[in-house]
Amino acid sequence: MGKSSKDKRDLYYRKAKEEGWRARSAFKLLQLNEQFDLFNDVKRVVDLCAAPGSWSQVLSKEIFKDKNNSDAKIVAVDLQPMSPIDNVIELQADITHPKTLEMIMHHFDGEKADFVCSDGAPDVTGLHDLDEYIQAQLILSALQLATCILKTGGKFVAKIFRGRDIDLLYSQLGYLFDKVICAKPRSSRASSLEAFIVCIGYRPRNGWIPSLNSNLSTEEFFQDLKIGRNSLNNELNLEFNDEERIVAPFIACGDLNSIDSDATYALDEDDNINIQINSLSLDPVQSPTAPPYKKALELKRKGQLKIVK
Amino acid sequence: MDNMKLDQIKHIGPICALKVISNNLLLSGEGPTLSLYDYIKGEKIFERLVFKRNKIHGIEIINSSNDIEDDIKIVIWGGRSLSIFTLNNFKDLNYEIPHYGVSDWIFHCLFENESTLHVLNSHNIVHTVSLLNDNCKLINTKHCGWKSILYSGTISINKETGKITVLAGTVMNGILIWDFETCQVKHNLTEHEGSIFKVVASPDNKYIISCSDDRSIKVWDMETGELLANGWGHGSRIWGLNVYNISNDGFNIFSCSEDCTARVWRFNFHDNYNNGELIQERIILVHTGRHVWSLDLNDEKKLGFTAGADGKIFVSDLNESQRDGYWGHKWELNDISNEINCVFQKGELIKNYSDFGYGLIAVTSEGKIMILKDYKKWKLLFIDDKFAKFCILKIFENEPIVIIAGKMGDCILMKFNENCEIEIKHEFNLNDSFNRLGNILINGYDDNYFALFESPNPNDPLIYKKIDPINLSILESYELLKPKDKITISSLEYNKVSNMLFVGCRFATMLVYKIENENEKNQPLVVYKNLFKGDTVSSIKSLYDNSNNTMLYITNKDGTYHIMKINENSTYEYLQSSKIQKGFLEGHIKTPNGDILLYGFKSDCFFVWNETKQYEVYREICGGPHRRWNFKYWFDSNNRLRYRFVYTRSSEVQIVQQGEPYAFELLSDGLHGREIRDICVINSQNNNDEKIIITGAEDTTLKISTLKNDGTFNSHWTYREHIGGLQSIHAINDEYILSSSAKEELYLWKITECDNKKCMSLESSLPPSEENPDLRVMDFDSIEVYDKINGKKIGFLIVTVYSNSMIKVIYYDIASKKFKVLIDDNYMQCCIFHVRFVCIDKRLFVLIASTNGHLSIYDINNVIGKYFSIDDSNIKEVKLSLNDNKFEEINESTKLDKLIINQQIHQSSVKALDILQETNGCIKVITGGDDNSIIVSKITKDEGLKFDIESFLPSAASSTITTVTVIDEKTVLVGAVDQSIKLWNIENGLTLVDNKYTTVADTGCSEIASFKNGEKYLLIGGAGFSIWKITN
Repeated sequence: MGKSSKDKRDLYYRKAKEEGWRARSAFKLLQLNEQFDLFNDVKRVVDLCAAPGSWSQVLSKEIFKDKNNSDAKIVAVDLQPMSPIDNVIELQADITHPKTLEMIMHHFDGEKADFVCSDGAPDVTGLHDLDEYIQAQLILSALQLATCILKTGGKFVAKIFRGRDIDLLYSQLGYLFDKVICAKPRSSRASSLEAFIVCIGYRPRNGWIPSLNSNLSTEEFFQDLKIGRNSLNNELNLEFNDEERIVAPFIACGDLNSIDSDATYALDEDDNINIQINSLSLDPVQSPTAPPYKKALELKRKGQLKIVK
Repeated sequence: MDNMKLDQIKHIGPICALKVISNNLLLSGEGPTLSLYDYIKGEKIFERLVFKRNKIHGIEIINSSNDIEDDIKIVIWGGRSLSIFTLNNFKDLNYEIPHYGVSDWIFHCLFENESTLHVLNSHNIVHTVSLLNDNCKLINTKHCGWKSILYSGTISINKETGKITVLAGTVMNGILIWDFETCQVKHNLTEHEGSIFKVVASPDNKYIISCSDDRSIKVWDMETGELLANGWGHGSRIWGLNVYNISNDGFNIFSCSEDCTARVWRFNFHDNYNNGELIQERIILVHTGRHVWSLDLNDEKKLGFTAGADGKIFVSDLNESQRDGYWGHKWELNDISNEINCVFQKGELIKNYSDFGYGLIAVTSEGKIMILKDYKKWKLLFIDDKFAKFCILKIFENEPIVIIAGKMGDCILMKFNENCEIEIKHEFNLNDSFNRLGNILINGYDDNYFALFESPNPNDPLIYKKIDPINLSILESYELLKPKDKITISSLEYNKVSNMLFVGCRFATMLVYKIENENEKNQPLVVYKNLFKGDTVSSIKSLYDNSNNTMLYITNKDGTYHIMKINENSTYEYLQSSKIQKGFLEGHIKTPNGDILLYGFKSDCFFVWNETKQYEVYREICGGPHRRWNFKYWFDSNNRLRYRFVYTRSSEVQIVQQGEPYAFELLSDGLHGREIRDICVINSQNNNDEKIIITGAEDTTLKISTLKNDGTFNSHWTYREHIGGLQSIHAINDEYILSSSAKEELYLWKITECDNKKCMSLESSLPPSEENPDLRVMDFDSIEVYDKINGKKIGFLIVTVYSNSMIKVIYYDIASKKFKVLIDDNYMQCCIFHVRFVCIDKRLFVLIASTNGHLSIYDINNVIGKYFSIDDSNIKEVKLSLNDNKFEEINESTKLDKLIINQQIHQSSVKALDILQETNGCIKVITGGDDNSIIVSKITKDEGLKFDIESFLPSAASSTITTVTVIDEKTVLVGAVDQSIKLWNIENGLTLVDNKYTTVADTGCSEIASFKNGEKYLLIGGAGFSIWKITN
């Protein structure tokens, strides 16, 4: 979350800073919770792809505000390091690794989770089919862990890109949960493909015992699950068109009067929406992590990069 | 029930795979279609749909043992799909292309031999497939134990040893190199940062070449895993890499990137691998928008092939200096001095060059006149002090006639023969007219040759002299008076239609003379000032077509170019205006096939840019300001541009003459390089068989194209006027269109035709009301306004809606080209996506749809009724006429009347909307939402207005519906981001008529083109553009 002139006018971004959230995506989870009451009766939570931690912040704040929940446990997992958050146990680990599952289970004293969520997304390339595929893989890795750790009746929430094959994913999730809903919080722009899959009521498949094994790819993990996924066969005759496709019901969340993430707000209208901004250029709450192209930028600054446009 | 259906006839979009299969054939994966090109002839030979849904992401081939071209075996892959067939199978339409798949995304396929194929998937697993008896059978699956998710990967075979190595690029930093036979990981290369987007092995398998998110190219030693060299230069992520030109001292790397360039790099073995640095040898700028996705090479012929998001396929010559007829040389002044056997004085420089077709004439600052015979050998012609320090040297374009002149007005005309000898010489001076010479411009047409002489004294007239091309005598001489303003001439053209002489000047000024009287002083007929934003009219060229109009192509040194039409009464209009992205323009060239090339300088380069097809033809690094240069061009027997460029760089004379090109440059024209945001269709004013299509894209460019009734599509011009992200383009009528974008830009364009192309020119723009750069003009609608008495079109009523909930109703007056805001108000605080004027029972309303899922209707009759009345019009078209008021009498803005309907219909944003006027008293509104639903609402006349939801379908698509277009009274087209395009019958509820899948991702806009002969086409825009035929 860097700062640019666009951010200055993004009211969710500014509100996030105001309220101390590490990213504007905090509002997405808050609005999802408003709609689905996700945190009710939730004591054991896993936040996957958690960095920089805005969802963990929301979880910590919302779950621990109920005094009865003082024994609740939130585990946040990411490959990247994350600065500490109250009541959140951070694990810097790979979510596909069986050790990670063990560590989480250890923190939960062997009990299963009520809620697993993931706000992770890959760096998009611009090749829509590849981006959607990689995002689906990310969701499947999260789901892989979720199937191992969720208790029956538990909930799973993850970010999705609503592209050309999203109906395949809806259909597959339909085998594992009582209810599968596509939810779009108002803080997520209408112009973006982003939405969230809200899966309620985990129903483990009869006779299928999930177990994480680092020798298995996600595809192999789900191979025998019989949730309508095509699997490799000797004749390589995957009948793609026969794969089940279902459209999950759509629910928009967040109050209609809340900030419209597509609208342009003038800076002087701030008072109307109760935001007090002291200075125009606020530092990001969480400094952006070093981008992979940092060195390229340095060279460019020094004039050592021959970039011709 | 009708059987209306959709069939795709054309697709332009991102190209993700290219493969050279021979010294003239190239395969290209264009979405799910595989195309075969002959790049020597420059034509598409064949194309065929090979996948149902997936895009082709890769192509590999294996030559058959019998060496017959048609038996070449091809594997194509994309997503989880793959297909294997021979070139002959592919071309045989009776052959059904087989379709196979694995359960995971495929990154690479490799033929080990004709009957064994290896397939690498995105979890670093290799499937081995037997192809015996034309059957595909999985025989083995191998992995190295690390099944991490990949972003790239290559299976590489060492042609000598047959050893297979897998190079796997992971999503985080690492490259895993593993031996296929033993499944042992040889190296885990971790010196990149971020995702690895490509990793390949050199053909000899000794080196690994990789690129990543960190924007560097790295070369590694295959044996030791040691990092040998880095290549920095790409301004964005690098998508593709390949190696060619391996020799004893190194090899070349060809790369392509998100930064829209392809680059050539040199990896040298010596000097410790050039101290670990790749040398960037060349930048290729031939794609537009963003992303060059794919590349391939012909190593033998040294050709580089690239394709990108713009759908363009380009062939770059990577070995220009080895082509027949190429000539490149550098001379230091010393070399020249030795050759001509004459010493140069200290500080003596070559000040001027002119290329007369057989050789070059050059003048030094000390008055040495030299000839470069055949562009190879220097000869001293003569030395004359009169031409020292200050000298003008000019050459006629089509005749080897040179004029050389000194400061005091001494001039020599010389005509050269093929041996570079002076055939005729004619000396004269200008002492009769003025005693100092400032500049000479020359020009010619048919057999007429003339020169224009300018004195630095503002009171001196310009002297026009006509020259006999045979004996170089002066045939006519006229004085042309200059206006009082400061005049510095810069370009000259004689127009045959009007018999007028056009003189381009600095300060965006142009003088027009009619040369009639030899004895009298000729006053300028017209002086045009402020022709454009910029300084110098750098070139003028007549444009002759069948129209008998006086038309000129003019270039502005500051980067704009125009087609200027001069009317009988001397007023002028621009039929076409646009600008280049960056740089200074010196002139333009029209090629025999009608393409317009622009040339000039940017930073330290001379460039030639094909403006019609949008690619750089030539680039030469020639140094900064105070350039001495000469650019000479001609066309060869194949109508291809040939050129020679001479320039001085760090006191060296350099010459580059392009050789005979081996291949055709452009194999596929493509369209926009970013997502198309809107499409607008209008009628061609004088041709029922074609429609004019204007498209606008995320990169802020607009393009004008034509669609013929047989489905052919051609793009004509590109416009770079918008700065903000494009939102909407709609027609007002067949003559005017409007386009809108962020930065509150609303532009009015006039559509015309000239030089066999459709053109547009910016007519006017609505001044912004705020300084907020994010403020977007989301949508608008318009109605034509007529004069009450004479029935002439006099203006338009326009309604605009904004991302900050603002609504404006504006009147535009055609005569004064001015806007007047009549209504200026706000809806709420949300972003308004759509607006329409609707007319119900002769009353006018504004209908809007917003991010809050509401349809809202305002009554605007009170305000509009003050100035306009609604004419008796058919239900399709509302016409207004201006009451007795005049434009000036229209008062300043007021607020909207009351909101009479404000009904939530969708859960969130109304992303798509179209309207069907059923009767005078009833409209149907068809909307599609972010909530995947389609709703048909009916608005009818009641006491006020009555609103009913007629039909509602919640899951009409699996994702956001982004476009709705009414096709006829009962059918609408609905497109969604899930890439579905569906036809719905809306007569009784919603009935699905047809359902197709489009290759255009980020599907965002659609339009219908209906021809008089009954042909109907659907146009779909998004990350690409497709044309579908609608049949009943």
